[in-house]
Amino acid sequence: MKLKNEFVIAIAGKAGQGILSMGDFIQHIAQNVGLYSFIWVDYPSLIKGGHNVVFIRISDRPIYTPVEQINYLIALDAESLEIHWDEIVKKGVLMYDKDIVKKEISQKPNKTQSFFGVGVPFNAISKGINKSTRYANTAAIATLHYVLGWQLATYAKILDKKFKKKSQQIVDDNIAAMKQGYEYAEENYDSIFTNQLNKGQAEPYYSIDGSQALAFGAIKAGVKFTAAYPMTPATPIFDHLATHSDKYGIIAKQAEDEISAICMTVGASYAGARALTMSSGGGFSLMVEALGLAGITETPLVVVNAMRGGPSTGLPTKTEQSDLRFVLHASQGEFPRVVLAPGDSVELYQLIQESFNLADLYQLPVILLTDKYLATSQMIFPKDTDLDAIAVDRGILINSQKELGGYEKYARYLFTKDGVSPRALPGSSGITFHSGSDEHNEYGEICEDPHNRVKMMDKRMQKEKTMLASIPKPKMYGHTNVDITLISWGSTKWAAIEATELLAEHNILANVLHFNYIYPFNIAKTQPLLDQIKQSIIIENNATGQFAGLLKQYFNFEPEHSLLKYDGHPFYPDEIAKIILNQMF
Amino acid sequence: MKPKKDLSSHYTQSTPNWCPGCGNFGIWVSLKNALQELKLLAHKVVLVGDIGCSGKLAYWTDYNGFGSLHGRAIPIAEGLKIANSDLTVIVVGGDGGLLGEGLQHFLHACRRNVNIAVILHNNQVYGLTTGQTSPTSDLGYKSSTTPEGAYETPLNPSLLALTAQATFVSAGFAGNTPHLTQIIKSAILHNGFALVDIYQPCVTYNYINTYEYYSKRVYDITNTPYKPDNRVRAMKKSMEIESGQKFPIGILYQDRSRPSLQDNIQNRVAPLVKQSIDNIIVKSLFEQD
Repeated sequence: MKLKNEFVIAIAGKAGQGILSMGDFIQHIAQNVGLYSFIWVDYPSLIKGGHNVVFIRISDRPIYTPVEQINYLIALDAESLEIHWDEIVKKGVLMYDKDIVKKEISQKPNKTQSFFGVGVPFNAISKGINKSTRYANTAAIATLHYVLGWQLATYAKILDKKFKKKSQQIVDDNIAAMKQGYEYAEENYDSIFTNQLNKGQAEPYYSIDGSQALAFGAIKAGVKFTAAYPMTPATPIFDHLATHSDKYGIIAKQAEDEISAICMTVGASYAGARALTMSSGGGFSLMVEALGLAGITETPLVVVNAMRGGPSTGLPTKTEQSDLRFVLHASQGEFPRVVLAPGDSVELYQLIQESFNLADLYQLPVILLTDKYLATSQMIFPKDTDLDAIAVDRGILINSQKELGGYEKYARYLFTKDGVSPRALPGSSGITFHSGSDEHNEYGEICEDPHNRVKMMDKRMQKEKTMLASIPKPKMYGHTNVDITLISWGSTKWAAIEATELLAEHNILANVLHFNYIYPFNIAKTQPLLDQIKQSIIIENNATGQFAGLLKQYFNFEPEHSLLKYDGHPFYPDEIAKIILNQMF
Repeated sequence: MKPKKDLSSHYTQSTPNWCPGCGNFGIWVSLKNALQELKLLAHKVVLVGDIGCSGKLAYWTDYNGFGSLHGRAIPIAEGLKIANSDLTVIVVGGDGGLLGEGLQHFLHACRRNVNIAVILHNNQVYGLTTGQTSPTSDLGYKSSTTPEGAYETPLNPSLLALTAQATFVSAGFAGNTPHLTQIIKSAILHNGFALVDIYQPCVTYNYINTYEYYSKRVYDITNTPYKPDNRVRAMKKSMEIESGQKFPIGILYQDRSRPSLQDNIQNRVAPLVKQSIDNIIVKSLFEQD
């Protein structure tokens, strides 16, 4: 399937060659000329060397998802060429360093090569300027400009802005590399390339990755304490919170392990600070016991699990949605919990705020699922998004003995109709109380009496029903009367939505039912949406159809088709559309 | 709420269910004495209990109590103290929880110098699970899990704390409550991580390390020429217990010069629970490059 008015640039090389910052430059240039962008990365679990790629999709309409094609490849090493040779589209362009790639590459497409080849001595240009290869990437981006038919003015402005803080010499060297990279291509290669999209009317947007969206949302929600142990791909969230900790009065504590991280978080939350911990599945596995502690002590707790390919160490730097069932049932015994799975940057920003509110309102653990794909992809976040849409709601708090009303002694676990007991914080004037992991009576004292046990369990579990007032139905994208409904949850949202646009070109009407509130389901509001579906396909980044199983369990609903992917990569709209076209119509 | 006038005002609706004669009673009394003598407001104190006979103490005073998970009382106390530094935070736990299941937390809390007092009920046995060998059980100790006798050399809690850079390391005896009360008071007042390693007889399962055993071997270093200001000397002193003959009680080491975690934090950030979180402005975050 062909992309209209858009293209994908891939920059491939070894880790440490600066491909991420090249991606940023290109994104900035595109944004500056009014184009939309989406950046995603693919890299192995190592720091130097290895094969790394950053993809920049550029379009004149909003785009929220990767596509599986390369129009322009900048290959910074010979290996990159071999790996991506077949992915470059017909009449695409390969840019490479002549001195590094020894392979014979034709200027024009031929039998063995479907694309144009543009060889420029990026490294030699840089060495000519300051005896090092540090400006090779600048020369390469300039060559890309020639190939795209883009003017250099915007790039020059961005280089100036970015490096002026360091020194004028660095700006001048960059500009020199930029000019030479462009001129070499101009002198040695005909302008055989059609001018690409070089301006647009994009609505103003921020280009931020999922980890930033989550961290910014957490800051907005008033997170004051976070503790974590490093684990890919969750760590960037912690890093962002640490970076802004002084400005926003946050303590970010790196813990000795994930058990400590979640326990510190429970302690801080019990004290009354909004607190967050995060990890990927492996670290979450270690956190599990404390999840139940938050459950029985009714301590608000927000945990982010940024999923990656499992089981065990699995695919540390690849994406997957395979922890859903795990987080849903993690920890011994039964207690209420909430599981959310945002589908894009705006949902990440908003649902982390909702997570804190739900945790406080109902005094329970909330698990927010994201994944490597969302965590590391740089997405469009529209500038007109209302950043203050979600108000802080801390639920019922008691601040002193005066507020106890008729009660002489404060009962932390007072039996109430809705299961929510007014919460006091330690240090509240005149109030002392007990909380604990043992089953307890209303006063928090250890109690194994069977009647009390049943009453206390029922009180806690009642919260799962009470909270339904705060749980919306899944959102439907597209028309109502359609041939097929695509069901997405979490990060598969936009691949599904874009697939429906591709299907429309083949006269197949499709819509998307997207779930981001995963548990508990608001069954009364959701069932009617499922009942009106004629035919459906569920799209999940896992091998066993974990969400499909939940639909069967809670709604007795079975999608006719399922599309499961667990090769470590996110879904591409075209692969979804192709499968639907080939197998269902 | 006013400071306690006498110990009778400490009674809660539920009372300890330790075995008659348990060393925990001595620690319970000493801790309550210490809190009372320090005139701390009850609502400003939180006891964080580990799991086991010892940890249940957190439920049995009318100060705030949080019963946690096995081995995890320390990180919970750390988060709590960081979030609200106005609270006096005290960990009560045993040798199994603090030195077995949660040893990593113990060591890192030492070097973190977080401002909490850790009351280690060291009875050298797992009591609540009916008498298994613990990390501090004597070599050759026989139990249901080590019928042939323990092969592992016991851990030395004070020495561990010293190597992990703790700034307050002390030892006490559950059978000497006036002395233990003073040690606990000093631990609570210390600005930084404070360990009180307490020799605590388990009258039900440990027939070796009894009241009689300890009464003959403990000796108070408080009013002796020993000065708790030198780490190497403190290490040597703490190693006396390894002979099984001499158990020094008192303050083994105290370093008042090293800043506590709280000292480092309060220069940067206002107390967490006192900050208003309504209407936080985040727009500038989005506008950074």
